[in-house]
Amino acid sequence: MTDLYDSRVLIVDDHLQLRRMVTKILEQQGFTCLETASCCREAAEKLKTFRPDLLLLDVMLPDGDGFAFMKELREQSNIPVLFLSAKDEDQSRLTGLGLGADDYITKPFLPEELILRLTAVLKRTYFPLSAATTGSDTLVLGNRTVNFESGLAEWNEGSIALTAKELGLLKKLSENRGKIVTFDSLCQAVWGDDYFGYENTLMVHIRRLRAKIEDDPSHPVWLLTARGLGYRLVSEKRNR
Amino acid sequence: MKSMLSIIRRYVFAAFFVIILILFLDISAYIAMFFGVGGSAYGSRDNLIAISEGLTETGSQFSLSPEGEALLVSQYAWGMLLDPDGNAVWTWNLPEEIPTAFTVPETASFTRWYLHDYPVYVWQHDQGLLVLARPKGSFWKLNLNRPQQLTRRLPAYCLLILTVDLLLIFSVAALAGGRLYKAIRPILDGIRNLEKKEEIHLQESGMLSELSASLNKTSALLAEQEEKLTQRDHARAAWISGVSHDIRTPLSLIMGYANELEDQEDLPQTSRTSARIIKEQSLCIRQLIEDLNLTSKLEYQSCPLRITTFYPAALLRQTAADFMNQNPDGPWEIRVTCSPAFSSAQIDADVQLIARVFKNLIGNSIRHNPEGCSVHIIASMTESDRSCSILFTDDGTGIPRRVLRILTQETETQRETPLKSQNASPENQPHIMGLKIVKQIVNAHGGKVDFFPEPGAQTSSPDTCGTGCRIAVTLPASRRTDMPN
Repeated sequence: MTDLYDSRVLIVDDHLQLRRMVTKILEQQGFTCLETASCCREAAEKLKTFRPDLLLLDVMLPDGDGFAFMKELREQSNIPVLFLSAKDEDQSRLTGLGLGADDYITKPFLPEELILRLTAVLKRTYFPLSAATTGSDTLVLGNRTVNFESGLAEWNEGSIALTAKELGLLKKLSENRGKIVTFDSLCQAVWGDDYFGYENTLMVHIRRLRAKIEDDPSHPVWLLTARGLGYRLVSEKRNR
Repeated sequence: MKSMLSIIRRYVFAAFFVIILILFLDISAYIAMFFGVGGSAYGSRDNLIAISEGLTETGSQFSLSPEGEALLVSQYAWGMLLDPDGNAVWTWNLPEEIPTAFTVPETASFTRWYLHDYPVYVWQHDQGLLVLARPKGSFWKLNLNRPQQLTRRLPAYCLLILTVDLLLIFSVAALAGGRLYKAIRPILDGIRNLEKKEEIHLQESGMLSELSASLNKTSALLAEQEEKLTQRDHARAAWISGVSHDIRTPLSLIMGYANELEDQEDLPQTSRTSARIIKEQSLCIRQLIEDLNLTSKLEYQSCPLRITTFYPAALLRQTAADFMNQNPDGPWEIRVTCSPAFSSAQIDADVQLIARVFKNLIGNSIRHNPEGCSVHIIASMTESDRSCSILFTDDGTGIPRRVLRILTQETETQRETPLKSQNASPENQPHIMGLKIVKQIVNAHGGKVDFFPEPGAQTSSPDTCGTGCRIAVTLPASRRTDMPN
């Protein structure tokens, strides 16, 4: 499998209309190798004949429950499994994830949510390197580029080195580019779980970071403050 | 238990004093009877003296004064005067059966007791012995002979007897009180257990066996009712859960296909708008299902709290940031201001449920102000009772008065739904599930929710309570939280 969308997905659900709809959603997204099963027995057969790369599994099936099926499956195979169930109780989620499921989606769901979660699991499982490098080692901020490898912020006229803490902060912000990242998440990313009390230090690091990545640090256009919440790294498209 | 002991103590003292009072009254009555009413009998001595003095010898004749005769007639049956030889020298109304001459032994015999069943009294007269008799059966003669020493010590003996009597009375009252207390105690414990909704099985014996039996029956009845209520609550929660489960799959289809239609560019814009509305309303139904499930679980206590210790400030900021990230271009602004004390405070709570509280309150401002508004969350610590106080404010349309009324009227003990409590048709009811859940979760964590201003407050708008919405959530801080000096 060279392409994510070549992944073979088996959809197991007793509801015919739902199987059709999920198939349609995945097809529209570009997935081509799709199969469906309406019960555990049929799913077991398809596992042998179709050999899916990912299983989208309902919990309540006419001839058994998805949890028991998953348990048996794990004795033979490690293919990623996503539960797609109407059972939304915490206990059901914990049971599913505890059995080794890669995700648990509750019905009703938005098609985007299904696609995002399914592709995330596929990327993690089959394309780990590409997933890690998707963000790339560089961050472009207008006329400046931050290279995480070298730890330098470069522009036409020169470059400046970023400290480990500044790089850590920038990495966290770039992973969530366009979104507000709270003080707490930033502190946790840099100082670990015992991050409490670093809020003022964080502000100092952000000020220094702005001095290195912004043309006018007193009027930042890339690293913005979300008052009372945290900071946001503006996405390039939005800034243009 | 202390009150019970006090009651028993009062009972013992009351019984003691009642017995003393009765004893005193009895003695008084005895004295009054013997020395008052019966005392007239002892007046015999005075009568005898008066009659004796009234009986005088004139020549060889005896005559009685009118006073003496009046006394004789009123109180005596007959009378006679014996000379020193035992012969009657004066008689009055003497029956035939009574002889007129007596020997010394005969005289000695009747002076102490009776003469032919007549109670007789004698008095020494200058001329002999005056003998007076009362009618037969009118008086009982008692001759009291006791040792002199005993008579002298009689007051001391009486005092001793009285003291022993008092001690005895007190002991008996205390014993009776103790027995009563012993009999009542299990009943009292039983009643206390009933208060705690525990089933009781009291021993049906002793002086309060009937009461114990009644309490046992009451307990069994209450247990049965409690069981039925629990079953009903579980059935209701299970029904809600079941219905919501059955709705989920069809709703997935509605949302999925509505989403597809919305994205189809070859469809007319009106159709795509309709599809978008269907999707949005389906999302509302999804939220409603989740709220309904959670509220029923909280209401019937079938939602165990997973208590952990965490910083509410971090959770609050994260929830606000999530809202902002979901709606980056929305017309809403969310600001969070945390005091340093709140930022360092921790709470012991179910993090998922508290996140739900924050989400519902922020979502409330956003949902009810589609044109946009500024949400400001101010969090601080109250030093008085170590609580985290979080005030959610916005400058939007505010909470409708009728919603405020429902929310503020609903108490913890009210099991009625808002629909029932207002006696109105469901169509006219405001949708307050989100805020109701907020109240339920906060109450379950020992906190409280206040809505400002009060529903009855005077404001410029008749329907809403002033500009914007203000809801304060107070949650108890964890013991691990250090309060600032």
